Formats: sequence, structure tokens, C-alpha cells
Amino acid sequence: MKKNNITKAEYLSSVLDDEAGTFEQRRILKELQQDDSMLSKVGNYSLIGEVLRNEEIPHVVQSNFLAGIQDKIANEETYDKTHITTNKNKLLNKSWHKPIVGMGMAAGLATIAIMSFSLISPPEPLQQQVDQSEGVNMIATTDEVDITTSSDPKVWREITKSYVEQHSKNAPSAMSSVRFVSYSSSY
Amino acid sequence: MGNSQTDLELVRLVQAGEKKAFDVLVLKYQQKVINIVMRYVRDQSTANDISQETFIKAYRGLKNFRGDSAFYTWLYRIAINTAKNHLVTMKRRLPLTDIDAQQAEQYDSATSLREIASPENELQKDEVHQAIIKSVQQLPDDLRTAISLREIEGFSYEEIAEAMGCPIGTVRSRIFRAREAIEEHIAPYMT
Repeated sequence: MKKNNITKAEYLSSVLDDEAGTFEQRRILKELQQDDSMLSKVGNYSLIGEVLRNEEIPHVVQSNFLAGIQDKIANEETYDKTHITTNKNKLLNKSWHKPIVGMGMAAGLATIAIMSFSLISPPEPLQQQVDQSEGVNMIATTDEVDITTSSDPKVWREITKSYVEQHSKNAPSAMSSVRFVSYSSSY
Repeated sequence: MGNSQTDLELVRLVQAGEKKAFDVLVLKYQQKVINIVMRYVRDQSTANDISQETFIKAYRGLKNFRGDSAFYTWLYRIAINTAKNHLVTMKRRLPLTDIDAQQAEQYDSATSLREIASPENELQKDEVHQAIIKSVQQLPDDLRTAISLREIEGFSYEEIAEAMGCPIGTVRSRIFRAREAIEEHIAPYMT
């Protein structure tokens, strides 16, 4: 118990010299508020420093000095309510219009971009786009076999194999998938 | 006495509604503030009142304190202005050698101290002073050197460690033990 007190006071000494880490500093300052004996050390250490620095007789601070201040600020409002609420209100007042303005600007830019794109590059006929796309060839290949009428598993396997090969060739980064749908109950 | 992450942390705590943290700031700076105020007024009782007013004004003004300057500089400025306002109110002359907040840090209060009245105050001041000086002289060499380098020369712990050729932890311990030993000597006068 005594050892703990000594350690605490030692940390207080270094906190007052600004030589403790943030964690210890916060811990000690928190503890100071509940420990009057530690609190009195703050005044004493400060007095010792003053005397050593000035090498002169210090003014003796009256014992009721702190109590007088405590009495006078006892009725003062604590900060968190007034100070923080005011800031919060300011933030609230400022913040509501920002997202709306931002969204409006973004929407405007998007509209302009779409319109410009449409004007600069008129759409090609759909069939021409399809012909230029290799990916669609794969679909065209699959369309050459009438899957719906074929019941031969070999045909299905070939179609699947062909699809997977083309998929790997044309879109290696995308995962290929094949979905078979049948309404037949004969197999 | 540097500023002070500790001061800023205490200010932050007060601003967060922890009034008790302000007590620490009062205890830490009461001596200094009274010394400054005594430069303007010669009566100790009046100086105490002005110093108390200084701290109350500081408490009220903490909501506007942003930490742009050091807390103690800001506090000393309040002390000087409060003392000056008092003199204006009392229609007295301002001291011929005016000081500002920065100078106040190095202020040597000897002149005004010697002019203070009240025999009891004088006796007590002298006793406290003697007790501190005597106890420092009685300290073992390593403790006396450590506390002197810290308080008189204003060295950091790292600089003291280098000067004394020991680890920082040892420096911290020596300074603390020196303070404890001195505090023991002045304790009878502080009640």
C-alpha cells in the first residue's frame, strides 16, 4: 500500500515536470482529483521550485486561498454543457446544407457527362455492337445447337466444354458458370 | 517550468466539466501569480484577493483558451491586467517598471517582498524559506544535484541523466526523493 503511494507520488513529481508519458499523465491527473494529500503536494512542489529558482523568501499563500476560489466557482456552470453544446449547435447549423449542395453538384456533373457522351459518340446499331464482341460469338456458338431438343449428354458436355474454354480465353478474370434448366423428367 | 502537456491536459479536463482539475492548476501556479501581483500591490491581503480574482477570471475564460499560447503565459497576463485594473480603480500609480507576462516568468520578487508588512507573515515566510534552503543543503549530493539541475537550471530529465551519467528512471527517482525530503521539512509550516 505504501509502495503504491510512493510510486504515485513519484509519477506526480514527473508529471509536474512534464516528463511522464501521456498515459501516466492522464492517470495521475485523474487520481489527483480524488486524493487531497496528493493535491497538496502540487502546491508544495511548486513552492519548493519557486524558492530554489528565486533564492528569495516566498510569499506564503494563505491556507484558504484555494478554498476561496472553489467557493466562488462553485456556482459557475461547468463547461461541458454550455461549451460543448454551443459547438455542437454550430456544427449542426453548418452541416445540414453541405450534403445537399454536394449531392446537387454531383448530380449536375453526372447529367452533363452523360449528355456530352451521348452527343459526341452516337450509338451504333445494336447488331453491329454484337458482331464486334467476341463474347457474343460464344453465345452465338451455343445458339447453333438446340440444347432444348438435345437429350444426348455428349452434346451437353461438348457445349459446356466449349463454353468454358471460350470463357477462359475471353474473360479469364471472371468466374464462369453454366446453368442448365430442364423441364424434362425422362432422365 | 515549461508548458506543458500537463497544463493542456488539465485545461482539457476543466473544459470537459471536471472542476477539480482546476484546483491542480491553482495549486501549481498560485505562488507565481501572487509573486506577480505583489509587484503591483504591496499589501499581501489585497494581493491574495487579486490573485483569487485572477484564477476566477481564468476559470471563466477557459472556454476561450485554445492553447495557442502557453497556459501560464495566458494566466500571467490575466494576473497583470487584474492587478493593473485594481490600481486604476484605486487611483494609484502604476509601478514605474512595468512587466509583461513573459518577463513575469523570470521576475525576481525580492524588492517587493521585503516591503511587505505583517510580522506574522514575515516570520512564516522566513521560516519556510529557511526550511527549504536548509533541507536542500542537507540532501545527499546526488539528490541535491538532480533537484538543482531541474529547478534552477531547468534541465530536462534526459539532460540531467546525461550530465549525471545515470538512467532517466534514476533521475526521476532522485528528483522525487529530493522533493519529498524538502517537503517533510516545510510540512509543519504549511498547515
